[in-house]
This record gives sequence, C-alpha cells and structure tokens, in this order.
Amino acid sequence: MTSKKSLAKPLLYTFLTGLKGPAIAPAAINFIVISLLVLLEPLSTIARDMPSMDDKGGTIVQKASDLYIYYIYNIGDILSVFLLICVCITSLIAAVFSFKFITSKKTVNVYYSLGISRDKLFFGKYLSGALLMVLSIALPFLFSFISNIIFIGYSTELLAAVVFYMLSYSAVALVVFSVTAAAFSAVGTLFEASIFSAVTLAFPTIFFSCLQTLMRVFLNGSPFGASFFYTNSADDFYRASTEKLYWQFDYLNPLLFDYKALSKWAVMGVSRTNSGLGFNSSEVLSWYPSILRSLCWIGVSIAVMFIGTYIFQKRKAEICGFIGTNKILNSFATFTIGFFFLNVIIDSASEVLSTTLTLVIGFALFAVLYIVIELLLLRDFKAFVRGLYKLPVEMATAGIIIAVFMAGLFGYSSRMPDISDISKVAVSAVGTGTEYGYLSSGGYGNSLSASEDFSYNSILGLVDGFTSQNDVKAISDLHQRLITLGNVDVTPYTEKEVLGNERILPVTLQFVYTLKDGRTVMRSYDAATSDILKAFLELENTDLYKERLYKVFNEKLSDETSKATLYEAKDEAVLEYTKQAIRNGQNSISIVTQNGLSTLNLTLNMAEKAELARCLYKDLAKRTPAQKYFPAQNPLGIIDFKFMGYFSDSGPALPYATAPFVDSIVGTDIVSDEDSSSGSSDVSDNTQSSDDASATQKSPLKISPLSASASTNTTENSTQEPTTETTTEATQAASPVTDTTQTDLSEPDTKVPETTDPSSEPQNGEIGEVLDKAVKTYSTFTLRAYKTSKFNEALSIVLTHDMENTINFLKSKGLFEELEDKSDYTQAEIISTATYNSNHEYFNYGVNSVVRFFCGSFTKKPEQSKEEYIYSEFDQINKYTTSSPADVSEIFKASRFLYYNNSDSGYYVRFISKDGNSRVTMFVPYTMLEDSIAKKVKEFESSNSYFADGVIGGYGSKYVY
Amino acid sequence: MIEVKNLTKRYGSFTALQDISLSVDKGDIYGLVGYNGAGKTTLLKNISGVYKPEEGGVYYNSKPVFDNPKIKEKIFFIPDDLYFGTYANMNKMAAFYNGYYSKFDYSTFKRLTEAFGLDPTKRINGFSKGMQRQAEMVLALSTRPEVILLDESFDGIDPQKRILIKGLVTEYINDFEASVIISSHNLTELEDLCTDIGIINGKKIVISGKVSSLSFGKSKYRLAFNRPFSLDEFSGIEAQGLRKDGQLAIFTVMGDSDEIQEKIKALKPAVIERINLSLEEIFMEEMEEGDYDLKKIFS
Repeated sequence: MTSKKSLAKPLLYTFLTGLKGPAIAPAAINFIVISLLVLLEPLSTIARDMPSMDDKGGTIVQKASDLYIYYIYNIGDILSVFLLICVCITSLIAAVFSFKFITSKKTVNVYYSLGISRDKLFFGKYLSGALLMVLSIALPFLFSFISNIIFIGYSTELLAAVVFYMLSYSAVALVVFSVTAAAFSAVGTLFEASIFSAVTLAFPTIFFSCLQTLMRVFLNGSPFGASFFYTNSADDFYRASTEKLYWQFDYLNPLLFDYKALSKWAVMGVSRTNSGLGFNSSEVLSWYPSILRSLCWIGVSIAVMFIGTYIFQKRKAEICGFIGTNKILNSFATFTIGFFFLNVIIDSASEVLSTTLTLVIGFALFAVLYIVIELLLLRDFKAFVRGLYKLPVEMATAGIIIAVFMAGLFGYSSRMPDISDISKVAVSAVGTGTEYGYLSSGGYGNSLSASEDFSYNSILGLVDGFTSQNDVKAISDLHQRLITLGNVDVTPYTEKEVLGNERILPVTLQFVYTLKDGRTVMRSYDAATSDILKAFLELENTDLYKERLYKVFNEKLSDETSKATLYEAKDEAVLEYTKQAIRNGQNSISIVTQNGLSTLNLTLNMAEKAELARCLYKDLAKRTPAQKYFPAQNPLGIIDFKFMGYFSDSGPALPYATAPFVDSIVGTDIVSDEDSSSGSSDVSDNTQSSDDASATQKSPLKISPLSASASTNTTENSTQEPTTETTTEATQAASPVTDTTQTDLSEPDTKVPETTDPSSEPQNGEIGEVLDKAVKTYSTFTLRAYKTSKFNEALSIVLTHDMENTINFLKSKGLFEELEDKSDYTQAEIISTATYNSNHEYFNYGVNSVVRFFCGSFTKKPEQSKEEYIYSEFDQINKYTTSSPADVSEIFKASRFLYYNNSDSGYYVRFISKDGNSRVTMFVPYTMLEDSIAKKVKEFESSNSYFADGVIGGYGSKYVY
Repeated sequence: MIEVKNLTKRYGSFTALQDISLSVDKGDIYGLVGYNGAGKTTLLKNISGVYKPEEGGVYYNSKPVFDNPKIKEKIFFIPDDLYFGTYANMNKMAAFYNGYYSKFDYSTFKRLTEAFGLDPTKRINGFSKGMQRQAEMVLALSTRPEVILLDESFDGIDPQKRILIKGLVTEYINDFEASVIISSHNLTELEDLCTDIGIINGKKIVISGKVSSLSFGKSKYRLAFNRPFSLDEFSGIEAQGLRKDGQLAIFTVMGDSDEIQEKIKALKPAVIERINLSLEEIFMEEMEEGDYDLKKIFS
C-alpha cells in the first residue's frame, strides 16, 4: 500500500459518515411509506383513463387531466394522519440512531477524544440525520410532482401544493429530530432522551388541553366557546372559537401546526368544486396552501438545533449511561405528566363528582404517577427517597395553579368590556328563531329527541350582529347577571327536590364582543338559573331581532338559489331561505294540529299566501317572548313553511330561476322591488289591505302556468291567464298590495292592523278546496315543530292564541276548527320532570347546550300495530295514571303542547284516547297543575320505582347510554 | 509538553481527583500507577479531553486540550474499554480515524498490521481481547499522535506481543519525540518501559518523578549483628518497616545522609548492606501507608 496522507475534514467526514449511518434505516422506511402513498395509489388513478357516466346515462372515458388539476394523494383516506404519525416516529428514531453514541461510554471515549470540536460533532451528526429525513420526504413528493406533470400537466396549483407538502412534513420531521437531538444532549440514556423528547413534543398539546380544562371547569366565563351547531355569523372566528384550545392554537403545536391543512390540498379537481375535495370551493378560489407555518417551524427547528449544540458543548461526558442525571428534565417530565392526568380526572370527573372529590382523586393519581415515573427515571430507591421532597413541591405547584383559576384568574373571569368600547356583540340565544331567519341547529341538529314521548329542541346557537346601543346594553346586563351568579355547580339531575330558580341548569351561554379597536373578547358560561334563561329569551325584543323579522317579511327576494349546502349556509343564505320559504309562491305550507296528530297541507293561491304572510308579520311583530314561550293557553298548533331545492344538498331544485318564473314570483314579494322605500311609510294602505281580504281577491296575484301546475287547486282565473301577459299584470297588480303590506317597524306595537274580516269569503273558501286530498296525514315519531323534513328546512312558527290576525285568516279559510284538539281522552299518565330527569342522561354530541323547548309528540296512528310503539317510554315506567274524567280534564287544561321547559319545572303527561288510538304527550308547568293532582303524583313517585317490573332500562334511560 | 495543573474532577458530590498536577515532556513515557478505582482512567479522560475538569486544566504546549480540536488531533486515547463499530474491520476503522486525524498514515497502518499479524478485513469484534488491543494500538500509531494515552493497554496481551508493543512504543517515542502516558495497576508491566512514574493515591498524585531518581529517595538497609540486639536500639533512626529476622535487622529510611550513616554505624553491626529500592517496593511502601489491599494491586 502506498503511503497516503489524510487531509481530514472532521465536520465533513462526520456529516458524510452520518449519511451512511444507522439513521438511514428510519429515513428509508419513511421514504418507502410516503412513496407508496403519494406515488403508487395516485399513479394507479391518474395513469389510466377513467370510465364514467355522462348526463344521458352513457359511458364516457375521461383522462386524469379532464378530472384533476393535480392529484398528490387520496384524501378520502386518513393518509395525512398516517403520514404525519409515520414522519414523527421515523424522525424520532433517526435522531435516536444519530445521537445514541453519546449515551455509551465506549463511543463517548472515542468521539470526545477525536480531533473535532463538540459543536461540529453535533452539527455534523444533526445535519446528516436531518438531511436524510428531509430527503425521505422531499423525494417522493418530487416524484409525485413529475408524475403529475406527465399525466395531468403542470400548473401553479400543483407546484404550490407540492411545495406545501414538502415543507410541511419536512418541518414536522425537523422539529421532532431537533427536539430529540437536544434531549440527547441533555441526558445520559436513550430511555430518558426518548421520554423527554416525547413529553416536550407533546407539551403544547398538554398545555392547551390543561388550560382548557381548568378554564372550563374552574373559571366562571371561559375565553373559548362551546360547540354550537349553528351560528349565523359569517366570521370564521366564531366557528374557530368553538374548537378545542389546542386546535385554536395549533400553530403553536410542533406536530399539529399544519394538521388541518394536510388533508386539504392533496387533490384539486378541474371543477374546483368537487365534493370529494377536502376544502370548499371558496377556499380553492381564494387561497393557495400557506407555507408560512412550515417556514416558521423550520426556523424553530434551527433554533432548537443551536440550543442542542450549546447543551452538547456543555454536556458532561461522565453522565452517559447514567439515568436520572438531569434533575430539571426529570421534574419537567414528572410534573407535566402528573398535571396532565390530574386534568384528565378534572375534565372527566367534575361533571359527576364534587369538586373536592375530583381534586382528591386527581392529586392521588398525580402522586402515583410521580412515584412511577421518578422510579423509572432514577432506578435507585435511595435516590428516589432523597428526592421525594419534590413531590409535595410539584403537587403544591399544581394546587396553586388550580387555585388561581378557581379564584377567577386574577379578575379575568369578571372582566367585561366597557359598553362604549363595543362595536358588535354575538351571544348565544336560548330560544328558537326560525321566524327571524335563523335555522335552529344549523340544519343537522335536533337529533336530541330522546323518544317519541319526550322531544326536545336544541337552542338556537350563537347569534351575531347586535350593534345598537340598546342591544349591547341589554346583552351586557345579561352578562353581568352571569358574572354575579358566579362559578356555580350544576344541580345534578338526581337532586329532585331542588326546584325552580334554586336549580342551576347546564347551559352554554357565550358572549363575543368585538371592540371598536378590532379586538375580540369572548366569554362562555356553562351554568345558569332558570330566571337568567328566561331573561335571555328577551333577546327577541332586541333591535336586531326586530330588524330580522322585518327583513324576513319585507326584504326583496333573491332570484337565485343558494350555492351553499344547508350545512354550510351562513347568515344571509339562511335569511334568504327563510324569506323564500315564507314568501316564494312555490313554497309549501302545512299546519300541525294542536295535539300533533295531524298535518294539514294547505293549498293556497298567491293572494292567500301573501295575506297569510302579512297576518303572520303583524302578529309576530307584536308577540312577546312570554307569549311565545310561556303561552297562557295551549298553542293552536304549528305552521310550517318549506321551500325545497333552495340549498344544494336538499330536495330537487325547482326551476324557478327561469326568467318568466322569476317574474311571476316577484309578485309574491310583500315589498315591491321597485319602490321599497315608499312602501315603508304607507301604513294606511297597509291597514286597508289587511282590513279587507277582498282587496287581495279583487287583485289576485297571478301565477304562471308552470307554477300553477305545481298547485293543483289554484283558481281558474290564474291558470287561464297567458303566462307572459299575466306576469306583467301580476306584477303591476301586486304593487298596491305589496306596498300596503309594508309595516312600519319603528312602531310595530302601535300600528297593529285590524284583523282580517272572518266573514269575507276566501277565493277557495271551502275547506275541501284549501286542503288537498291527503289533508290529514298522521305523523310518526318525528318531531313536528322543528323537524318536519329530513334537512330541517321547515320553518316552523308556533301558533299561539295571541296571533289574532293569523287566527282570523285561518278562520276565514275554515281551518281553525281543524286545529283544536277535540279528542276524547279518557286516561292521563303523568310523571314529574324531576323524576324523569333523575333517571336520564341526555345525548351530548359535544354540545354543552341545554335543550329547552318542549314539544309534545304522539305515538300512534290508527292503523299502526301495537308493536310499533312498544318502545314508548311511558310503557316502561311506573307513572301516576288517572282515569277520573275530572282529573283528566283538569290536567288537559293545564297541558301545553309547546312550552319553554326549564327542565325541572313541570310534568310530562300522556293522554290516551278512548279508543286507544291517540296517545298524545304534553307538558304541564308546575304552577298550572292542580295541587291535589300534584300531591297524588308526588306520593305515587315516592312509593314506586321508576321502571316498571321486568324493565331494566329503555331507550333514553341512563342505563342504556 | 503535557501539563496537568491543579486538576480537580468531581462526579456530582463525589470528588474523584483533587488538585492533581503533573507534567510529561517530549520523549517521556509516564507510568500512572494506582489501585483499581484510584482515578487513573478519570485522569486520562481529562487529559484526552473526554472529561472537562471542574477546576484546573490540561494543557499541551500551554494550550488547553478540552474541546480544542487542533490539540486533540495530536493526542490519541486508547481506553480500557475499546470501541469498534459493530461490523467494523481494521480497514473501516482506519478510514474512520483517517477522517479525523490529518496525519493518519496508511503505510504505517499496513506495516504495523502485518507486524502484528492482524487481518485488516476481518471483523474486529471477532478478535480476541488481546488482538483488539493490538488492533487499537496499530490504529493509534497510524494516526501519528504526539501524545498517546494508554489505559490498561497491556491487559490480556500475551507476553510476546507485549514485548512487541513495548518495543514499538519505545521506537515510536524515539522516532517522533512523542509522549506516552500509560496507566496500569500492575507495576511490573511498567517498570522496564517508563521513564517517569506517578503514583495516584487518595485522589492525588503522591509520588511523581523520573524512575531513575524515584528509587533513590529511599534507602533500604540490611544490618547483620554478631551480638544480641533489640529493635529499641533503632529509636534514634527514623526507620520505616523495621523488622528483625534472626540476627538481621531490615528497614528503610528516607534519604542517604551522613547523619543516618553515622547513626547506623553507631549500632555496631557486623555487616551494613545498603540496597536500592525497586519500583514495586517503592509502590508498596507508599501503599502500605494507606489502608489498601495490595493483593489487588499486584494481582
């Protein structure tokens, strides 16, 4: 061998040997996994032609370029999650392989005595391992980029997406690698390095989880919201605010900072509105994936690398192989893990156990975990005993943190912005508001109907847009009442004796103040008294609600359907739908009878529909929340408006967007689209129109043949008119009518029009002509008031006795008598809500909202077999039953089909008709039930178990959940 | 020149070395002797820059060694517990050291590999312990270090190879004016190799100096009497290890002054025999003053 002198470059050599070192194994695994997912599956899709059906049912062949702008991986699977986990694990292993040499005496003796400085040794090892991980991520995506260009073609969107994925996953890999490398520098064993890096990486998630738990449980007025099904706000802040805290601050999370985006941008369809994509069309059109977070976290990784280098330089070589040498990290790990599980206990047990017991259990678990982890880290009992003083110190620290939250976090919980600083408020509403253009439950709620006997409707959700001084003041007063109430525990359902306002009810009440300087203050409360809840119902007296009601009944209708789905629908779309459902000529109207047993499908002509709308507006404008939610008499029923096809995910679209048709329905607007301003002042015309139903008949609104075909019982007059001419005439003829219906909202209570003349004959005055042949459709279990259709598109308005205009209209059509419950009930079964609730827990789909609005239901139609209602809860429980005609009559008088139920304040009662075919369930407020009957119920319930003999629990009972 | 100045090393609350000072000149072979656990390895790791001392420091030509790659490149540390890559052979390890030592010489590597009869293509972890030590010595000398630190490096090497290594080390020292610090608990292994000896005891270097001068610090006497005598007669002499063996009296004294000679002659022995102390005897003398298990040291 010839002599050759070395020209050693230690850093370069360390780097190069690192590339060939053991870290190549996890990098290779990562490369293979990512390649399989972003190359194999996509290639099998985009490299071949795809047959599909054309509009006529024939088969056509489409190329990938016809379908996609790019295709990186199939987001239909959970690949992005799997990839993220894979990247995290392989990065951690790569760091372990790169730096485990400093945990062995043998290797430390060699490496630390070599002619290389410690910082260069660390940097060389770091660089090689990090580069391997980045390459294992970048190469598959680079290949994916090339294959996309080959099979689909280049686009800037493709480039942006590929860069995003490369950077995002690389940033995760670098963060994990850097933290693990730094952890290795600080400790003596591989075990410790792995534990500490895992705890450090999980720390942001743990921190925000704990923060959320402490705020939610101990802080009166937490600064993040609940999961409302519905908010009318178009501002994403309100939706984001309902997320868990660690999702809200995901940008601070080293593992999850791009989690949400990773499943979003993997595929982009040519149409950009492909429902299979992970994002909605507006996002695609507006945004490219942001690489800002990735770049920031890469920056953090570099910072961590420098910290690791510094620690590596200062590291004492003699700690290698020795466990428990880093006391700071030991305490960090024991405290973090202990505190996290303490919070898990607080989070899960605080709902069912007292605060004291919850904390005792939580701290006991804290102590156990401390002992286990400390013993694992020290492996030396004497050292463990010597360090045992840290346990009370850590527990005291945890206790102080909790105490700070319980004490209101230094005044944080009682802070309320000054009214003069507020520009806008959003607040959770506890009532129902379909008549104001709010869809309850955002279209997918109301799955809380516990059984056919007891049905509930969720509260509305977050209502945004309160801006007037009066409204802001009213809401601030509500907020102050909750602050004054303080951090109180919800009264358990099992405590039956606590009644009325003494009872603390579980309810999510949220305030979001937007200040004039642009900042936002949010507070959320999860308990209230029934008095406070009733005060919240007064929100329907605010300027905002009045304005909404005005818009629903007066604002011009749009000519277009909604592009959004019902689920996506935000404020304006929902408001527009409400307008269309009530005022569009193609709507359908039905009435649910007082006992809920029947649905009357109305067939009204345009004039009648307009008249009905006018009557409703006048009644609703003056109806108080008390009349709506606490009716003195049993409501007459519910009037439902429905307009299928408005949202993209509901029923078949109606062809009303064609020009002639649009013209025809313009005439159904209550406000003239030509002169809406003039209409608002002509109260006399309004009165004239309302006074005289014949005015409507004298100038009937014409409808087009197309719309006429949809209505089977329209007048001959209207159907015989030529379409185009009639349309013009209709519009012209409608003008005086629509002008007159313009109500001056500034004084709604003082300008109540006279009622419709009940004696005037309607154009289709006979009942048989107003109702279609299937007039009486018996209902099934489904709630009628607020869930009349699959998509919950029905806008339901409770018909209360104070609605004299509407009632007179119904009387004029001969409908009124159809509504009243004239059933011959011979038996009443009654159970107190307290007893019922103490035996039930409610479904909770992440919703902390209380369901409040009781809506009666019914269990049987005449032709049903008995088996169909076997699951009726009333059949399985012991309930006080009376057949005394006097008692049944008394209870019936006190019963309400619809009533705002405070959950603790009344009775559920089921009436059985003489023939047994009608079984109607209603609600009786405590104050309305005769004392003698109430006493009998109480005596019965105190001496009988809840479930009937042989029943171990039924649908809806707590034993089932 | 390697210079250790007031070095103190602690492991937590335990002090392993305290205020150690020594110096090793070019061409010196410094033997570091002490019982097991005395701190020899700790001292070598401090000298090699593996450990950082809490106090004091290690200097090479007046420059600090710790985390100083330019200096550390001139030093090669062969620890007691050798490390080779899991699947490494000598060629791979040569490539490894070649990456960090700019003076690595492949011709030396080849020559020494052949001299030891080692196969550079075979896995080193398959070698015997002795062969592994030879392999490490080959690699060390191939890096052409100016300082070689050997920690118990003759353990497990057969006598023939031991002689070979000693010869190589001596030759290397002479050729390159290098320095060697070699630790051992076995004094006899160092006796014929070292130019200097340091005895480490009780966290400190208790004796340090040239082998040639070390033994003369103490003198051993054997006196033969042709009359009965008692040990009490020696009270005027600061005799160490005084014992009576028949008509013989054996003891050690520090120094060799005329005063001592006169005191000895005053006892009127028939014969006075003065003997130079061996290294082992010096070591034992030192250790006997402490409470140590000498069997372990000379095992």
